[in-house]
Amino acid sequence: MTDINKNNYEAFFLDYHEGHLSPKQRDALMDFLEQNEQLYEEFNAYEELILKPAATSFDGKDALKMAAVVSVEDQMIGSVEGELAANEQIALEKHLAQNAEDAAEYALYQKTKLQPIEVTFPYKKDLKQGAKIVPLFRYAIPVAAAASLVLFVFLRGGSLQDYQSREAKEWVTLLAEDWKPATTDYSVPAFVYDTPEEAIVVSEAHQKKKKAPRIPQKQKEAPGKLETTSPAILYVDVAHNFVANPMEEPVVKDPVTHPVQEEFLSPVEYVSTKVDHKVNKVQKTEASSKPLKVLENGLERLTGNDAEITRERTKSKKKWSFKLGKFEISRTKNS
Amino acid sequence: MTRREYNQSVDLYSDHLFRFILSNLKDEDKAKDIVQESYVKLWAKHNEVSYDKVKSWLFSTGYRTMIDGLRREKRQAAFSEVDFNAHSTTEQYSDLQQVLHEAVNQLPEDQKSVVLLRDYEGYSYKEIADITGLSESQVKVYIFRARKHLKNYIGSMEAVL
Repeated sequence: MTDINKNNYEAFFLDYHEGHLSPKQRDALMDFLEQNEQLYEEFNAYEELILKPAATSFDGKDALKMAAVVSVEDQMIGSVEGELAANEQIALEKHLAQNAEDAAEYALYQKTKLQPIEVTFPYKKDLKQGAKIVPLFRYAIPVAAAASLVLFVFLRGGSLQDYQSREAKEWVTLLAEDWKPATTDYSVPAFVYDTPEEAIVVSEAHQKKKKAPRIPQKQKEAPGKLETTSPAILYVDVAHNFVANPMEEPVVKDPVTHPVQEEFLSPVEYVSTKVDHKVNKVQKTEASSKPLKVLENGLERLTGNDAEITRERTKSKKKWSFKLGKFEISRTKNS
Repeated sequence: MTRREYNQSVDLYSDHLFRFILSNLKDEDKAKDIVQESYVKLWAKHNEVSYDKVKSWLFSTGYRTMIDGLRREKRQAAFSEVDFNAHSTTEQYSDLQQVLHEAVNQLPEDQKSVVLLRDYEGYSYKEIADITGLSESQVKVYIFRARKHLKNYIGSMEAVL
């Protein structure tokens, strides 16, 4: 505000009485009044212009409070909701005891509470985050290869073809368990046994780290048949290496210079040597072509089903997939 | 929240959330999708959501997703299309509860949601307000209105019977 003068003193008078002036402005106003005494009367008149609150009291408060009281209906709902204080609940119950119509209403309100129905969400499993992530890329190929080879044997002949599918499944399971890359003990070729029972005995012994029964000589392949490595063995070997180091380029060894010794054959390899020898032909060019393609071709030839193995790596993710007939596994992993 | 706690929340709360959404939408596929979407969002934020708040977080997320969907589609399926028995483990309704659920189905969306949260899940007005984004007084008003409607509906049905 500007300094007080004869043109604006009214505003100062009003602000003074309303308490809006600063101490400095009040001092300036008093100085102005001392210099202009004729304005004292006008200054005092402003005092009377300010309305003061009347010191009156309204004696109808109780009536108003009665009007604000919650209706009986609201009290009944409050009771159902559990929102009433103890004294309010007692008062309501007294009222209801004396008023049958309201009591009937209250009974209806008490029925408005919904009883929870039991509903089960059927897809909980899909929602959960893998508590244990199975490294499919590690096991998919060998397990699938083992399974396909075993199925091939059952379908194409051999001494095991008479067993029922239940036994076949057990054998597949046994082989799948035995053929984990990190734990395979090639000295226990369970598959050379003629019956599942024998294989289970061997497998159990293997699991308990006991010495497995020796393989009867008569059931082994004749040594002469393993002079060169079969392509099936090569495929398994490639798969094995691929599983151990999935992002490294697999290498197919030359079957002549790198024969696989019989005593180190896995159960799957044993199977592959016992199946139809027609599939054991290998093209010379095959060994030097793309290893995954070789593996695909070998599996296709062994099983009679389409096989596809892919491996992709981008900056953000790695992906492996294995497909054999209708069987398909894929896994994507962030880099 | 750890992965174990997350998975525990699936076991503990997915049925409740599914029931809540299913009761509102009357559409099993939609309800399933919303539950799944809510949990996907939860997992995406599992490092930020504490385990003791996870139930209300799920309901809040599920509710908002449901409301957004309703606003987009502006449609409601008929109550009769829902086969609760397909998901039920026990006989569900007494006669009164059958009538009551029919009455709930007639409530406006806001009233229906708050009364379901109140009766099914036992949430307080404050918690319901947090989940739905309504004020606490609005929640109270909706529940009171809903109770009056339900009472009148039951009363009229009893009068008929």
